[in-house]
Amino acid sequence: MPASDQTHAVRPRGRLSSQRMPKGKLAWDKDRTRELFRRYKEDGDEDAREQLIMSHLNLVRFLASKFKNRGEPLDDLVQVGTIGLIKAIDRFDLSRGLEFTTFATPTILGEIKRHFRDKGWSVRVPRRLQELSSKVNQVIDELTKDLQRAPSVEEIAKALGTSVDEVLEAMESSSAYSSVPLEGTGQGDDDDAPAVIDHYATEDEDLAASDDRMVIEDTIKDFSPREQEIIRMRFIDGLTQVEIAKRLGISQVQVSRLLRRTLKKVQEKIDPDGLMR
Amino acid sequence: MAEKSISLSVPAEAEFARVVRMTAANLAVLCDMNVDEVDDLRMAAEEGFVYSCATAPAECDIRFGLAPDEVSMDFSLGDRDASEAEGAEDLSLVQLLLQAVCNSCDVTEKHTLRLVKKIGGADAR
Repeated sequence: MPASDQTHAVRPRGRLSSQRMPKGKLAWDKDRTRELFRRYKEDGDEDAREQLIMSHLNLVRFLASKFKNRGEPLDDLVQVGTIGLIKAIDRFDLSRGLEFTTFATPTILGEIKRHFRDKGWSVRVPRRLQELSSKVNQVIDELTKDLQRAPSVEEIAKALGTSVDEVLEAMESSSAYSSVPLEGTGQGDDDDAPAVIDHYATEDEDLAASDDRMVIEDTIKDFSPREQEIIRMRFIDGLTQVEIAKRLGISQVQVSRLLRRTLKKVQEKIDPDGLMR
Repeated sequence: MAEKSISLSVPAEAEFARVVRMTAANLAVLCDMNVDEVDDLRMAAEEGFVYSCATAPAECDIRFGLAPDEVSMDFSLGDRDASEAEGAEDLSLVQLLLQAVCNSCDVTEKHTLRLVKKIGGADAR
């Protein structure tokens, strides 16, 4: 925004009333709310309190919905938010001239956030992401097998019962650090799931242009045509196991086995004494 | 640190909310906001986008301003009166949420919704 653009005064650290922000249609009857507060605060009318709670549950539901897909049932969040609403109703001072909803919103949000904090949510975030990241990888493998294609992020989110954002965050965190081997998932010799590298593999121009290509060609020159083909597709053309399977008209599991066997041969040829292991 | 500026232009369609939200969250991390502040900024970004869309701009232009002590988000607005938009009742909820998670939210005279979130400042308690 240009610096010359006139804005309304910014109050530091305040909850602004945004006086000149055009208002949407009001979801609450202000006069009725004031009257209910008067009856509750001045006459101790419990029925008025009840009505205040009921008439602001839409606000609680709206705020609670902002925290869905975080491992807590929405109903629980609505209940926690309702506690915040009741606290706000009991603490609200009509004489201060503030709109009740403006006063109540931070209180309700605070109660919901406290709920997560009490459950150790904040400190668990990295671990939660870490766990999700591992689940994402697992589900990608499962879906790739089932669908015979790379799944969409939405499909992964659906399978995990989480949001697309969370899956993207988990993928982000797993691409920063991963202890999972790039070829195979490291879950045993019979591990034929698509390699983790398949999830990220794209043609690596640097690799294609490097001496590695010549080394590979030299190494595989006396391999069978099928083995040579599969190595070239995988490491020179940068195809995923699923893509190779499609091209060769075989299953991804067969590709995985062929690759493992061929890679073992490559390893034995390059490093017969196992010095690099 | 002088203010750094990041601009994003997305179609004013609901499915692009994620792009806005995740951009905001990533920038919040770059500014060393804590996890609660990141959450607040992400929520503010989404609600700001919803508000902008309600005014039917041709495209939603968002400018993120990163200053040492605050992050600002300026959303371009269209010509439609937000209070006339479909779901205008929900818009009053959007405004309440914006006021609760931002340190300031204002509509400027140049059809811009300006949201400011202080770093290390107060958040919803």
